[in-house]
Amino acid sequence: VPEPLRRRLAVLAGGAVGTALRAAVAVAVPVGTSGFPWPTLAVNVTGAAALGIVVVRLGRRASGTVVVAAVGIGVLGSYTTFATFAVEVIQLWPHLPATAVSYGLVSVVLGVAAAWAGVRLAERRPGATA
Amino acid sequence: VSVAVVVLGALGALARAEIGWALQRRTGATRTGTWVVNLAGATALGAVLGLTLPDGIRAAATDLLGVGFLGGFTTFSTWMVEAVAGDAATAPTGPPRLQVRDLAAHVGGMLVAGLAAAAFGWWLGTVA
Repeated sequence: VPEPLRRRLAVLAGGAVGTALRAAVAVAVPVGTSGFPWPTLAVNVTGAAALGIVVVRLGRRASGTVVVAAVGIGVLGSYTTFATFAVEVIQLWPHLPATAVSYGLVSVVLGVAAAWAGVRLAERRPGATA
Repeated sequence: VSVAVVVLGALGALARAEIGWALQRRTGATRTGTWVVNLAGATALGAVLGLTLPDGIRAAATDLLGVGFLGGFTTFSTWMVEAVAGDAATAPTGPPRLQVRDLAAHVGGMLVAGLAAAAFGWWLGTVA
């Protein structure tokens, strides 16, 4: 199978896995009684940490293109979501403005912290750039 | 979790990848694609959910588009990692440097733009 096709099949397969995982978290993690969107926060923060690890561990390998397409672009790209995040903030805003603001800020602050922690963790382990 | 949702999520992921690769080829910038898919996806989901729809259709749209296609099409993790690692995916050597000003611009900029896009989409849906 030629590389461009392999890369696309890898994204498709990974995207299916990531979407299924996100949908499963949405079933397993309930939205808070206050309307706080815990499921989306959970996938976005854990996905940011995991992708931080993946880009460092796999991103610099010449042979990593298809693996990055599957795991980074496919699984972890699809496991997290921006559209739902943005629309949830907009939907919360008219009724629960404090929840909307705290959800938006907590998502990006924890997301940045998680991504940074993932990158640093992967950097510190031996063989990080092998 | 329905098969349709998973298939649509996979197609969303491929659409995101194609847009990212095409823009990277043309502009050399890896982040442009993330901006395009996230703002387009937020606008689209806002527009669909801003529509006045019967409950059943609304639930199906949330599932197929929100969880499915647009869930796979947009990405939060890539946005976050781009903010902290910059070019970590392509840099040949050395640790990624945390550039605070760049981080704030990428995170704050897309947050404001994304919320504006979702609100604009929602407004489009309500007037449609």
